[in-house]
Amino acid sequence: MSDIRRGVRRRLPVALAGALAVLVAATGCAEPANRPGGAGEPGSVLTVVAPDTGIVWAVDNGFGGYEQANNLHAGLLRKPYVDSPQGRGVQQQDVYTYEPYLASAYTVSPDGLTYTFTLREAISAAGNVLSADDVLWSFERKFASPRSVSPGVMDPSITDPAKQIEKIDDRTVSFTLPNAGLGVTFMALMADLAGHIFDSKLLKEHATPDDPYAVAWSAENPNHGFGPYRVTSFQPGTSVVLTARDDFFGTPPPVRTINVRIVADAGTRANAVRNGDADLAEGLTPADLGALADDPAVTVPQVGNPNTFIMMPLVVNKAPFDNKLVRQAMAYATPYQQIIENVYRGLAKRDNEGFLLNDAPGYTDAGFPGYTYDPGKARELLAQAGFPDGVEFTLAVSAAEPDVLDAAKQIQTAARAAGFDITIDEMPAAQFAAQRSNHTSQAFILRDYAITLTPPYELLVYTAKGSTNNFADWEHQPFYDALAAGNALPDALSDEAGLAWNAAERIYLEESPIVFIAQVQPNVAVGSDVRGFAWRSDNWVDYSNMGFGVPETS
Amino acid sequence: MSVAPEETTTPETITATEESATTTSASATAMLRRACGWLVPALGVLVVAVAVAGPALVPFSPIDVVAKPDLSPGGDHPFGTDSAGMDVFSRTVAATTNNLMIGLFTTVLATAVGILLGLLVGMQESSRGPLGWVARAMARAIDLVQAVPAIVIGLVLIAFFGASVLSLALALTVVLTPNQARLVRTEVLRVRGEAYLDAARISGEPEYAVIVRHVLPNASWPALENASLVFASAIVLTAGLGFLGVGLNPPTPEWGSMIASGAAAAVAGRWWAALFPALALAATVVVVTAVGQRLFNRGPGR
Repeated sequence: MSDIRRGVRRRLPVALAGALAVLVAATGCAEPANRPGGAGEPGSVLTVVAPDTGIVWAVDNGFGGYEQANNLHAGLLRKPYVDSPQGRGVQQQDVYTYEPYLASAYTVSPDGLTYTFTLREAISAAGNVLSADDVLWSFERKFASPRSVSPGVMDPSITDPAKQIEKIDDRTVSFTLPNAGLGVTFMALMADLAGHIFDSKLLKEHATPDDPYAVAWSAENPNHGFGPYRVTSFQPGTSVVLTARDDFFGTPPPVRTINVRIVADAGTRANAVRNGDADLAEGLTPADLGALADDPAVTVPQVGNPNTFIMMPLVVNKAPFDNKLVRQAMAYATPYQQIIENVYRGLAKRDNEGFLLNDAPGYTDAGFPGYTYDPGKARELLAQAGFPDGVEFTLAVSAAEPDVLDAAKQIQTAARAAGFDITIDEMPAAQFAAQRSNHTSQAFILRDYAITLTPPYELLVYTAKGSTNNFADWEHQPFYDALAAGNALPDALSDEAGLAWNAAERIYLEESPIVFIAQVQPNVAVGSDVRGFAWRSDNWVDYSNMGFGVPETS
Repeated sequence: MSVAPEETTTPETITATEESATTTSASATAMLRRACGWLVPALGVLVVAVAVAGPALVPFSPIDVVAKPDLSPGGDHPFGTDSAGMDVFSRTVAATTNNLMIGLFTTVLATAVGILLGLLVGMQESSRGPLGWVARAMARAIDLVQAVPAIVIGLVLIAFFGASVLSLALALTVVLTPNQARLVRTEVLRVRGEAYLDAARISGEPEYAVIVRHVLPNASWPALENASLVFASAIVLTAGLGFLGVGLNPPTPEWGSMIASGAAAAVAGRWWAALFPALALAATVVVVTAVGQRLFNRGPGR
């Protein structure tokens, strides 16, 4: 053997040993687990593993993954957290109560039209003091930005900010509504992302003739809000680090640093929270959630009335769902309970047939059609509709939602007995989003939710005329008339208003443009030593409410 | 004094013993070779039999929800059930039909078209007339298609034409034809210089007859030898496209999409929905390749 070969043979094991030593050292230097017993200081860092939702920092620049941005901002109002029925440190929003947040107080005029807010002495992430000018300018920007969702969302409560929003003085601002019945919805919107107030002084410094509201600048520079956190590190598609602000106006967050890691695979995210490598795992599959629910080291939150629905819009401007009887037949051909058990492993519920949450004050389900899985009834309806041999249609589903695809398979099998021959068209996410906006499919199935939970808002969110969110392209004047009758009442959460919403929802269900299949529990899991996970109507996590320690209730 | 002759073994005796042992060893080896010789065709027949008869013999419908989801292997479901509650064994067997059909269509089309293209390019690319221009343009087109990753071409074509057995087969034909054409072209360039072609021309045979009767049979052999690899590649590419979400519409059983939908579950410990179709895919590719080598390998004496 040559000397060179002998040299290589000696050097190779040494090199391998060196590489191994480096690897071991690197592993030792990795971020320590934050569970009690881990190497790091307990409670200092909350580690979150999340799918890539396409994080956006400026919702006026287009809607996307907004959870992290939501933790940078605050609105004049917020919805308080209460303990969930599950306990174990899990909380949920009281979606019908609105307390001052950036405002220190608010009053309502006797006629119910004018809401006057007194502002706190709050400091923005850039160090500027909150003023009425920030409120006016923020709403001006929301309504002037071409890609903003606010105009559609706030209609009909706020349609013309210049006329409806008035600066009383530097610390006082008023909003005037077109009618008193819109008050509850208005307050709910102000407590959600539509009500975020921005640092106008900072943003005006970066305005340009082409970007007069600094929308593009704020999309790249996230720290322009009054919320509890600021971004200290952001690598798109990889990670975000949020740090608690020392000058935040509210209660200091229990956890100072939020380390969000983007992890593409749901199984890996589930393993991370199971093994203690993460404190909060988001976007988990129902199968993983079902498995984690039995793990004492993990809490799978369950809330009283989740607002995420799995639903199936039946597009009414094309066959076969241009026929009401066929739509009703589909509502009887859907295996609701089978989907809840087989797809969501029991982590879903169907307390009522419609879209309104049944815990709203004044709610009633009187007179609803009573849709259950009844293939015989479905066949009768198809025969009445002129389809005694059944119908065929294509059901579009996003490839990015495996649980929804599994639900589609359940429907395909079960609906065959009812006379429906369904072809499932699995689409890439972008293509599915396009057909969802353009309503080009015969039917599709998805998970979605209304962020703002008041009956008139929920009833209109998928039915507004000309809206891309009107999934089924359903525009039915009797329904709009019933909705208007409810909006004319002074209190949207009264018993009288409840009857009006019931009348509208009965029309909604009888026409059946959308089959509401089930309400799905949050698809997250937290370490059992984490407290303060609070379900919110926007389904984003409020990091400032979370902390470590044994929950007081269990 | 006489000495009793020692008992000696003669070379003949040694040879006989050794020859007996050698003969036994040789017989065993020969038997093993004969057995292996039958094994490959037998496996090939088995794969075809599964593809043809399997879907009719499986215990459950491969496209219906038949049980609770994520049941582990055992009992009525030897391969378990997937996340939708479909029987993995039934789907794995039924997928053989779809994957093999796509493979077969692709192989036949890619080989036939590849031979014709290779023949045209090889015979005409050096000529000066219009046919020469056409041949040279086709040669550049073949180079271009080969430069683009196969999966990318497949994704684009499927996005345009939708996913069906026919569209998948056509998309894969586009991907796999260039290599067949290139093999034939190379052989044509070698064959067209042979003296027997000149002899045929001198004897009065028209040019098209020279090409069809002499060039084609001698130049197409490399493509035929390569057909089994085309078949295997088609199956693997189909699985790859299915893994990327542009395969056949769900719940049509197809190994790639089954592996894709089962992969996330495998990370969480529910390994069966991905493993069994992956094993079926690997085994089929090995068998198809081995059968192809047995059928078309002319050996050193060709």
